[in-house]
Amino acid sequence: MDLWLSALQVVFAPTTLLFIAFGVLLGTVLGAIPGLNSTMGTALLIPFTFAMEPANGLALLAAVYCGGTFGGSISAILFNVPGAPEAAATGFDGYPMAQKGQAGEALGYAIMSSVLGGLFSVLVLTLVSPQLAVVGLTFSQPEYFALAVAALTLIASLGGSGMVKAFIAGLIGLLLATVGIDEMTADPRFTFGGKALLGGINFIPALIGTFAVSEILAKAEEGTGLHGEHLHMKVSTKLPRFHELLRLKWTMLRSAVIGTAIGILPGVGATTAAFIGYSEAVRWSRHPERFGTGVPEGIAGPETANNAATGGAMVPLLTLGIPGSATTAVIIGGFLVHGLQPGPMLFMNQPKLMYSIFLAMFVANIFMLFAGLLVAKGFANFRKIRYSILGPVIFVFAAIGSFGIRNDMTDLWIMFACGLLGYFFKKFKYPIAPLIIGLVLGPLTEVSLRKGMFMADYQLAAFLLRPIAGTILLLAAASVLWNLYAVFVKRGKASLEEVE
Amino acid sequence: MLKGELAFSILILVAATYLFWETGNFVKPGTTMGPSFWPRIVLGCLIVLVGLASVDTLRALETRQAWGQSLATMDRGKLRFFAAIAYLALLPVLGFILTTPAFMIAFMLLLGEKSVGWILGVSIAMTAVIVVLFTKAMYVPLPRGEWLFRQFSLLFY
Repeated sequence: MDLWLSALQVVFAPTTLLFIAFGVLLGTVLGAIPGLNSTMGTALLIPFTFAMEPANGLALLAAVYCGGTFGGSISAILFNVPGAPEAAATGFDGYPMAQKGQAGEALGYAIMSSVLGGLFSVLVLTLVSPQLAVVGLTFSQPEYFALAVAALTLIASLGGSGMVKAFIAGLIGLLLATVGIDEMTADPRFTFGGKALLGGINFIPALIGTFAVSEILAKAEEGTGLHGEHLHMKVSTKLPRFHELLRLKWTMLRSAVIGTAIGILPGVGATTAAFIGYSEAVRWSRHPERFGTGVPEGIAGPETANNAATGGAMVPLLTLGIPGSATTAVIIGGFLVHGLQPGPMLFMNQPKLMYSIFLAMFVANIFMLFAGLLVAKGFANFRKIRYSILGPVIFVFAAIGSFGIRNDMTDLWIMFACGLLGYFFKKFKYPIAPLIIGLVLGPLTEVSLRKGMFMADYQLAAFLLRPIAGTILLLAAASVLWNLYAVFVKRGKASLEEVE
Repeated sequence: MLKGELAFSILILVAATYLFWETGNFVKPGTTMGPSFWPRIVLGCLIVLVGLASVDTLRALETRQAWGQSLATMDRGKLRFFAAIAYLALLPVLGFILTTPAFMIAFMLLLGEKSVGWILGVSIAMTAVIVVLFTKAMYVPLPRGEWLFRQFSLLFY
């Protein structure tokens, strides 16, 4: 209790609150601009934290991290250009909702889900972080493979009656993920003897291409009708009412648990958490066919999960000294500049600092509500601009967002090629979301399968005999069979009606 | 539209078959799950499913007798496509600071924008904002171009 009181004194000091507010605002802005992200923000701020008190400096870095994870959803919802990879799944339903004239509501759902997801994970972090870190370390390749397969089965739900097209899209995503150096044997694959594709197809340019560039190309084809077209004149962020939030309680709770759990696993991160959060929201929904058309559950699922992953990723960092994501790896630098080494000893030697970080993250998530409203309002103004002005601006941001990842022109062409692919997908009614899901989860699926099989002496049955992996795989298989059954029943009814 | 869809399916089928053949280049003899293992599973499934989708489209073509617009039908959109491609191609040669305003002006005109003030203002202001934000504030490099154009870009970032 004394520790909590000391932490309260530290965090609620005006200077610390100011640093947290600044950090959240900066993180949200950086997250919302394609090409910039919270990892860059934290890296750039580390030298400045050197002169600060450790608690202030680390609170600032944690605040940038929380804000940055949310910020990407603003541009994903408003312009279909996710500012950060964590927000990619938010665009699946966020952008269609904005297209229906409900951008304000979509932003409101994203803000509230992010805040609640973040608060949940910090609460978990505060209460049971050492125990969770140990459980997280028991996860091995079969469990990672089972998680990836479970998320991939979402493709069956996303396709609706066009399940074959959804699977084709998912397989193309999985195929794109194999391009480059093989992680296990270091052999080049599908590089055609050149160097350009050795680094593989980065997920961000591919994502920007399939979502944003394909949209610009489709609009560019439309012709003269574009002149003077306004997307929607006025966007004002509307936070969901209490009864609307209550309707999403199970989606949010499920995603908060998923996000926190995934965040704890080293190397998986908020992007995977968001996709799994989305996939489970679809799986448990009574109307999975409505996903992708702009439903609040499609925003709450990934947004709650990705922000819950921020707290989760801090668990292995603070308790074991293992970073759970790219940004937490950078945050280690924030500890090191103050001569602190994250890990179990830090809890014993610096308990006040640890509790101050927990509390600072809690406060940062509450500040995110205000920062989200403020930044969303600023970005929403861009939707007032007609498309003949906005389209070229989005294209330039898409280009520098793709270039900024590795400072490589290849990424620009990958972006454009994926833009063309996305354009034809839209034209011929192939769903785009499975392509992205395949691309994101491809490396995890392949590597965990091959490593797991190697560990199990190439006995696939060994995967099913592990309690966690086996349960997840069986549930995933049941889910696919259920979807197939639902499609066949639907087709059967339709053909009966035709006969009658 | 169906004709275009069929052409698209066949394109995927041909590409997938070629890539399946390409996996032969990274087969590692003596390994149980080498680098070609996973791509072959993915490509095998893809070939089967695209085959199914093509048959479905063919059936639909027969029943509806609808041979819609061609894949290449882009009319006035063609120029906008080429503007985007030209921008990406010229970016590494002329650099960001010269290519971006030119592209934005051209693309806005092609999209039907008529306000000269907006066209010039947004193109120049956005380029300036991006250069300052990315290169000065966040230290994210932007393409500088080659030869003289590189020297020109170096005056700014």
